[in-house]
Amino acid sequence: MSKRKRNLGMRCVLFPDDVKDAFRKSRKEPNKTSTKSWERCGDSFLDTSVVQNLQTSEKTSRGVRKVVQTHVTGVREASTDEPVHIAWSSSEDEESDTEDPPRQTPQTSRAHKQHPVDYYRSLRMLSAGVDADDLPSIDSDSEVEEDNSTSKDQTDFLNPVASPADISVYSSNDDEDPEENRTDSSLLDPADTSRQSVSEWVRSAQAILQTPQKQTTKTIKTPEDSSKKNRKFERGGLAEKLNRLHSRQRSAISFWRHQCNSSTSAADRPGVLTLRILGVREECGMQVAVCVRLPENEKCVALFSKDTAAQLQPTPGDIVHIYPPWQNLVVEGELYPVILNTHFSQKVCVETENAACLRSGVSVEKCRPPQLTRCLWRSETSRGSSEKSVPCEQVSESSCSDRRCVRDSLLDAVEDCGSSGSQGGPVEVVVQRVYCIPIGRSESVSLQHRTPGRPPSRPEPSDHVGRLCAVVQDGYGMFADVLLQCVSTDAEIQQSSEQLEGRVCVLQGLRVIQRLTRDRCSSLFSLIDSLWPPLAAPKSHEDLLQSPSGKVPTPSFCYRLSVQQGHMVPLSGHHVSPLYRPPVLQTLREITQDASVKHRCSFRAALVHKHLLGWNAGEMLLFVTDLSLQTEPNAESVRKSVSVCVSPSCLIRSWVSQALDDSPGRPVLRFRDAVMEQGQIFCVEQTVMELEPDEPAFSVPRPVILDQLTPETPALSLCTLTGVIVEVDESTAFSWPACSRCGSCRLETAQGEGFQCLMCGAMMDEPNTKMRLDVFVCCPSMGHCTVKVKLQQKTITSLLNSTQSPEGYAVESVLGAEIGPLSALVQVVNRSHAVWMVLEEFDLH
Amino acid sequence: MGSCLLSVAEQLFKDLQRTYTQTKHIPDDLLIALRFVFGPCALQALDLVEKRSVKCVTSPSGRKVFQVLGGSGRLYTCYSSCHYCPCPAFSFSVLRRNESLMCKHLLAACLSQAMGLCQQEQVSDQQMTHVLSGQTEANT
Repeated sequence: MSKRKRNLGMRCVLFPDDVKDAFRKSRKEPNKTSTKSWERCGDSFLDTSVVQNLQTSEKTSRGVRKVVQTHVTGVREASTDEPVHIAWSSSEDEESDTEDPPRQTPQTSRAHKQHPVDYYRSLRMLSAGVDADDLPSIDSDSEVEEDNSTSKDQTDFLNPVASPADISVYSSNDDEDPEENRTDSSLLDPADTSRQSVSEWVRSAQAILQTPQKQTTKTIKTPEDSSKKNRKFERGGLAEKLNRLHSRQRSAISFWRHQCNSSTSAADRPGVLTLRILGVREECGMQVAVCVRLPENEKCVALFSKDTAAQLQPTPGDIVHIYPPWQNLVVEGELYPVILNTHFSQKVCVETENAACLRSGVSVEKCRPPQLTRCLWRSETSRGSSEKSVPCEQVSESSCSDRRCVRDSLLDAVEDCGSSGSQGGPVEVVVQRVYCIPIGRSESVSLQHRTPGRPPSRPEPSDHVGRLCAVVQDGYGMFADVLLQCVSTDAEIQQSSEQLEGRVCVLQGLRVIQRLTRDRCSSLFSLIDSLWPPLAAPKSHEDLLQSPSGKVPTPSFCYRLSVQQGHMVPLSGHHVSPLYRPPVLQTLREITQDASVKHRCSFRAALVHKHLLGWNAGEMLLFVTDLSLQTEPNAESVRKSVSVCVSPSCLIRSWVSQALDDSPGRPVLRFRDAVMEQGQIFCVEQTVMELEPDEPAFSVPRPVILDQLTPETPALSLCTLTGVIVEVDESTAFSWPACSRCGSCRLETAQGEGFQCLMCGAMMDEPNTKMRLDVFVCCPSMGHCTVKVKLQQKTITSLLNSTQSPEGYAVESVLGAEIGPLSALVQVVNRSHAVWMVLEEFDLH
Repeated sequence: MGSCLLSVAEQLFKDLQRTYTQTKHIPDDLLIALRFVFGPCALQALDLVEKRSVKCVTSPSGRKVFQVLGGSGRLYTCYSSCHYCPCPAFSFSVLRRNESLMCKHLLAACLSQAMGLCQQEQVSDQQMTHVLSGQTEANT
């Protein structure tokens, strides 16, 4: 089968004419020579009986076949060193005899030719590693084919020319002249060397048979770490470059070590680091030494590799020179810079050798290996270090200067906190506003952020006035409402406000309480809107889309965070951040004329009147006015005074409330971040009221002008009226004694003469008399409207003085009296049927 | 005190990422620093990185795992949430003897991630389960 393949190949290769010619030309000679060579070849087989037999049966083709067979077997047997005995059957001789005589000569000639050719073929087959067992069958097949072929001459030559002869013919196709020679030579050469070659041939056959085994052993790979054996890296790659660099470094190190042993080094050479070692510890095979850089006296950390450390033996107190090239690495989150590549280190011997020997025995403290949970994987989205911040308690005494990777994004810090409520930060923020909320509200807030598992914190001490809060903003424009510590005195509030407001601060250990959205917490967002857009363009997160117009939309959500006391630390002195947007003071006229639905406003105004609303403690109306309302020409819709509704959630500092109660005074107040909504100003949580010194430039001229009472006068507004008393409400006309000191009506008659006040304990002979009188007034400006005025004490007194009588006062004496101008607060307005108003007079001073 | 070496390693990765994303080139001093800090496995890790031996396998459930093809042809699965490699070198030199910070597979994964040279592969959740439970590789 393999023979046939070869035959096919031979057929493709061969050019029959050429072969024929070649062989025709060289027929005679090889004929002769071949027989001679064959004889010689045969001679070499003399040691086997087979050969002798062969010599006797030259003529028959069958004999030739047998020869081939036998000589092949002879080969096989020769390798095993056994004599071959072949029995020649007479039948084959008979067969050969039956062949046509005319065929015999070509056959014989063929046979002659075939002998060496077959020999070479078999040689070739053997050299190709073919199993000797196949050879006999192959040869016999080829013989059959040759017999059956039509064009015997050609094909006969074709088939057996699967040999060097064939190859030589083909190779010398170009030139015909050397062809003959070559064929001659190819046929001759093996023949010439036949005598020697047989034994060699046998040996080579043995070798050929053995080599495949050797090859298989080579291909088996050892299961050990192939990296140790495989030192070939990709050409031009990083690994190869590093390999080169490292081997260069290694030789440089060894060279340097030799050199520095001989010569004494000078420390003042440029680039040489001088370090004094303070402490050494071992980490993962390397030695970490905390040192002080001697000329600059700055602390640093030096890393020494294992062999450097073994050679250097760094111990505390040593002075070490580190020669270049060394590397200085500033690690984010670490206090000190780290010195790497400290191969060229040398200890400066200041002490005697004995001491050095003693110190070499000191063992270095081995550090615990780093936790496996601390991962060096970095997610693609995180910009900063993914390392969790260390809670402040664990940090050593240098915690105040601990600059662990301060972020600039609140979102990132909040993400860090995660859903578990752990602490996040540190974050750098600008404090936009500081305010204080009364303590009642803060308690509910503290309940919210109590983490599960933690013991409930002790209840707030009763002397806490309120809780400090701050509205902060990060570099990306994101806001947060931060709840700070509780305060007990107004002084604290003032101090904190001054310290924090407008500054850049670092928040540490923050906890997320809530995520607030615009619709849930509209008042906070009105404040945020007043702070938008930021003065400097905010940075944008890489993963957030930029709006096409370039304008960043106002935030729709923010976080409420809480931070423990002392964890909101202002940075860098007294600089006010450029991002700080202080409240812009406006005039009341501007504010009242502003058409927007709800916005924050800040203004300065003088208090005209204070009116307590309902039963709600702390809820009151403050009537204020300023220059803009007083002096500028009167427009129809603009009133001369504006009311400010103070809600209980707005904490009023003590000195402010004192000023409010102080009736003779007319305090000037500054309102920060009050809410103007639908024509009414409100003071809410974030609003801060402060006392202003009464500057002459600003002060409202006395007396304050109020609007005239008209039928259109709204309720809860101030007005002035003049009119004539037409009626008296007798049901409410009273007079009663009151304490002269405190004004209380709880008096008791003391023993003997006089009265004692139950409230203040004062004794008096003559108590004050308080009166109440409500009158109906007819005002010229009011037409047919009914106006009822609750008169003030002073007015009543002056009114009644004119009509004195010991039995009391006659109504008639009051009726028709002119009163006014009075300053009054319109309390109730009823416009259902006819306009009906109830006013209360107050003292305008 | 926190681990200094680990912080140094983190910083080196950050610097590497920054430099490589900008210049597609690692300067010599950074190479030397890597070799200094990580030891002999730095060389082999770099080789693994260049051969793109690190594959980041993700699944729809959001789990992520790194598979590193070691020099011997074995696939090691390193997890993204902790610092561990199942190779014998890791258990010996890192866990038992605490001689080095990481093995070459882990370092190769860190470097590949820093340089953005990880191969990305998406597998189904079921295949991810096989990978995570230590069975055969996700995809041959």
